[in-house]
Amino acid sequence: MTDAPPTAGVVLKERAHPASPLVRLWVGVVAVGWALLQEFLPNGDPTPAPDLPLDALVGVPWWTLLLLGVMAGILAIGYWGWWTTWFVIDDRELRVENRGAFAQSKRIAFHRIQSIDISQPFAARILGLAQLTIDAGADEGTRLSYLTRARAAELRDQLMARAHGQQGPVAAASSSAWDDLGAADRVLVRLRPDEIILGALLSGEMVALIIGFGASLAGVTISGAGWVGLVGLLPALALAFAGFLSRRVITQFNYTLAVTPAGLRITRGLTTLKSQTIPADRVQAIRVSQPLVWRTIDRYRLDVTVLGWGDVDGSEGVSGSTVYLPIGSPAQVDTALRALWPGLDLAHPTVQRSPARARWLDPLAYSWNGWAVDDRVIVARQGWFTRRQYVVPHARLQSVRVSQGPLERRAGLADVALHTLNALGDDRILHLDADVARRLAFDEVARSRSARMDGLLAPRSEDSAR
Amino acid sequence: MDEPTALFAPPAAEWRRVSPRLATVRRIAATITVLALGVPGGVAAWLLTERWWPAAVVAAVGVTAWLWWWVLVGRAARSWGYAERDGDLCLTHGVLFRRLTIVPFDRMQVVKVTAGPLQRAFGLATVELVTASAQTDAAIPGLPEPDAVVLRDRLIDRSDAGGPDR
Repeated sequence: MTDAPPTAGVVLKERAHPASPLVRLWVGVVAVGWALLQEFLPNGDPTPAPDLPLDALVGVPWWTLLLLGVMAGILAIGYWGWWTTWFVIDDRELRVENRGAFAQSKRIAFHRIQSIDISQPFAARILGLAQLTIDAGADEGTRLSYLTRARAAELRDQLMARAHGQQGPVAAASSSAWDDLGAADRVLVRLRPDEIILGALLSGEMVALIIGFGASLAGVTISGAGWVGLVGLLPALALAFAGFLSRRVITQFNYTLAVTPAGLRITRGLTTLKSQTIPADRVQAIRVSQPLVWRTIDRYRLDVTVLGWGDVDGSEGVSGSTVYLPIGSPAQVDTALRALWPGLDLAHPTVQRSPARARWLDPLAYSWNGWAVDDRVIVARQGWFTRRQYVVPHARLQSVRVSQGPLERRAGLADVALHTLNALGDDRILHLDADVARRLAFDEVARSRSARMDGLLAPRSEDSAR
Repeated sequence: MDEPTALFAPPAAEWRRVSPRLATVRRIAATITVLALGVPGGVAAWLLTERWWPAAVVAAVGVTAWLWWWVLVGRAARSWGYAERDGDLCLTHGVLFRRLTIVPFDRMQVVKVTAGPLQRAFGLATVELVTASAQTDAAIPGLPEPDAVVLRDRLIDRSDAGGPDR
């Protein structure tokens, strides 16, 4: 290419896979293909087969040609974009160069790379292609799409190694269609499909669905609409159940948490395979939650907030899902937590409960509400239907708030809220004794400051502990 | 219930209170709101029913709300207080629901001074603190404008003193 940028110190310079534009437009391609197929296939009435291919075109309606033309145009634009885009890796940075109608050059220095995710949307997965999303901490991440799966894994490992300051060759990665594991990777937790389905079936959302439909069913019965109403209701019911189940199961299918040389990695997904690197030093807080029904099967779910990932809503965030462990036994939860923050032991710090006079303010959750502190984290517990535990490292705390409503004032109680980067839901420690609350708030601010100072003096302490 | 409980006692010597003119600003805003809702409501009630008493009910409700508001706003405005400590800024406010927020200086990312038209007419401004957390939600309204600017600059200085932290 004559218009390519100067190539000083370039280690690698390549285009995306030639099938990329097709994959990006796959819905359109399939739809048009299907429409044409419908048109050309004999559809019952005995039309004589045309003798010449040209004759076949005569009977074709004009809109088919129009559709084909538009499709070809879009594909041409897609291919023009593909032809003019280069990924360049030199000894210091990754560049994405586009010299089409508009010129664009995006540069990412290796040491800025925070994490790299591999995802395989459905169409890409069928063709064995994958997309890299490179998160450099700022905007929504740079996408390299699409590469072959093996190439994507190799590039990811190379870039992550560079981001961690390593030079030289990197061990080859595997390229299985179901996971994303290299020879040096160690699997910590792997979930079977039946566990994920069980978890979804017993989750709080499912209970809410059942209650909602029970209520509407009762409404239909009482109002006397009888069979008509039931027939109308059942498809909606089936749809809602199937939608929720499939979303949870499809996104979390074959969940695998592994330790790799480049950090913690989660791979999951049935149709769209996602491989996510969890930057442990950017995790701001963890939530351990347990819906009511899960208490009977002793399972927990973990969510994390990560700097630059956006809000926790249990769905796909900017660069990935905030679900760290969709469902896990206490042992699995422990493993996952230790992988993230070594030395974290939720059983260790003694939980301080609210005073007995707080019981009437919150009779259902009173026995669970509480807080605990050790030298690295503060833990807040609350919730009745879903029991939640928030784990916030002192060094990640943003601010603290003591609040007191009129009822609490009468009882001499107060709440303490722990503000972290993104809300993991209601993060308050409820109904503490007023004096305890005030002391906790000021002590916690002091702890958070000294933890940050320690972090500044020894910024890599978390890494060396791992 | 007006005397400060130990829970919201000042962490340093005492709370620095905001300008009493904040109450005036808030009262004018309340009056405007009541008038803007009450007058069209009353006129509509009168025109639609063609009787005088629905309009009178609306007027009575409006006047009651306005008086109630008048009293509450004064207490709410007096409840604001802030104090700078070695490493953090504490602020408190609220009458019925009280809160005390502690924001470490090295967590402040942005310190803003804002003022609406009404505040500016009275020479007041609001100092807003932004941390990485949206929940921090810390603002001190009703500071005299020069004080607000001085406070902002001091806070920014002190937020740097903690050193880069990421």
